[in-house]
Amino acid sequence: MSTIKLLSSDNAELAVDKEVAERSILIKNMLEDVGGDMSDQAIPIPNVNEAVLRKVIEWCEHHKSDPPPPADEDSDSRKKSTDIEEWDQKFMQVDQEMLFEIILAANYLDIKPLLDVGCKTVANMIKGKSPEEIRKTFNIQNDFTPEEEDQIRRENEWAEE
Amino acid sequence: MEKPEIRRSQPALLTIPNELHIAILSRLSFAEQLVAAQVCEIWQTLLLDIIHLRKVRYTRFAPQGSIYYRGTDFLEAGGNHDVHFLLRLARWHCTLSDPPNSAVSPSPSVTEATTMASVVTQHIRRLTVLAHVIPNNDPRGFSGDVNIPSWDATNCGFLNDSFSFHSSLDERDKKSGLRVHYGRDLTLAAYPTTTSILIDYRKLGCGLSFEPHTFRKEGEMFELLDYAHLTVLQVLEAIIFRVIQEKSARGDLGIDSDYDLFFV
Repeated sequence: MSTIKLLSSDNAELAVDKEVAERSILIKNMLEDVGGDMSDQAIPIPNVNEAVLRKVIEWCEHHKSDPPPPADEDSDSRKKSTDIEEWDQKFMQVDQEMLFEIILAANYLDIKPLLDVGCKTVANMIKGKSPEEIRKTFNIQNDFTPEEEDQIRRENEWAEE
Repeated sequence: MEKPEIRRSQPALLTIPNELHIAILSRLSFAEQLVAAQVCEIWQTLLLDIIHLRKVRYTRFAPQGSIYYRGTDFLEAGGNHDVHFLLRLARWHCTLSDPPNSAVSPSPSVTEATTMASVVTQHIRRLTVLAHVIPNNDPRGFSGDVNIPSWDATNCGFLNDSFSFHSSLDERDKKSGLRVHYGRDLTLAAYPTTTSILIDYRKLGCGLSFEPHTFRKEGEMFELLDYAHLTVLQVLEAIIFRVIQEKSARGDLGIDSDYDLFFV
């Protein structure tokens, strides 16, 4: 099995099985563009630091045998926010900074299944909470005026029964 | 001169790109999206403006099709059997005559379309009267007063009035055992003279189905809905009556799903 090297934003070189790295569509396309031979040159991943890249590689290694995600963007299985595998749930038990770093990296590297898991994790953190609890969870400042807030609450109170 | 240190901001929820916010919000249920819209302005804006999110929240409740009732506008585009049937229901309700036969013609003729347009217009004029008729004709036997102020199709204060109406209906439906959820889309917050209907056809179990409505272009929905809000109430009631009728006939007025109907 051939190995390639990835160069993180903080200049760490990580060796990865090509098959694992190709879970990233970005990397897969890059390898295809250069004819697949990147054995002596590290592929720069300028938007992802070493810690995050290691996490992403860990995820890709675990999921290297997964079938490719369905092409249909509206696939039901991808929409169910509670539907997260146990391993993925544990994988995502990280602090919020790392969680969003992983989501951003998955988006940048074009790893849709990982991006899905990240978004589902965040969605699950939103579910069942009040607006104030959500703000507290994500440290979001309330940017509505009291009048706007009151108006929105009145408009939506039926949904909060 | 020493260069100032470039500090990379720590990623947090609000620093991620909009496309990722959309990906996250699209995994929330309709009610959760309404809560999310109260969290911060960016989420509210995205939930209001992004067509994809609107589609997600509607199809989640009506995956086999949803309808945005747009007055008579759709008739100009040819209409379809089910929408036509819906309007027949509306006419039945409006006139309080016998229920219509479901075997309506698959394509409404121009005459029928014109009739429907006329019924819709007529209904707007008759709304206050009709509202007082509803409790007396309620097959579930609820005889309480429906709290409906005088409505005017051009009255911008309609929303508050409609909310009272929804509450009254809700109270009545609770007593009837039929679970119906009323509400309004977030879009209404920004466009107070609009409304929409969403029906969960899977749960409806009446054999009614509707062509999914697809948005043709950004913003058009609001314009199309602009004059439809009063007729919606008429149609809602008609559907409720129809559901009760069908369920009673099958002897299964009992509850087997979260909601028998879901209206926004």
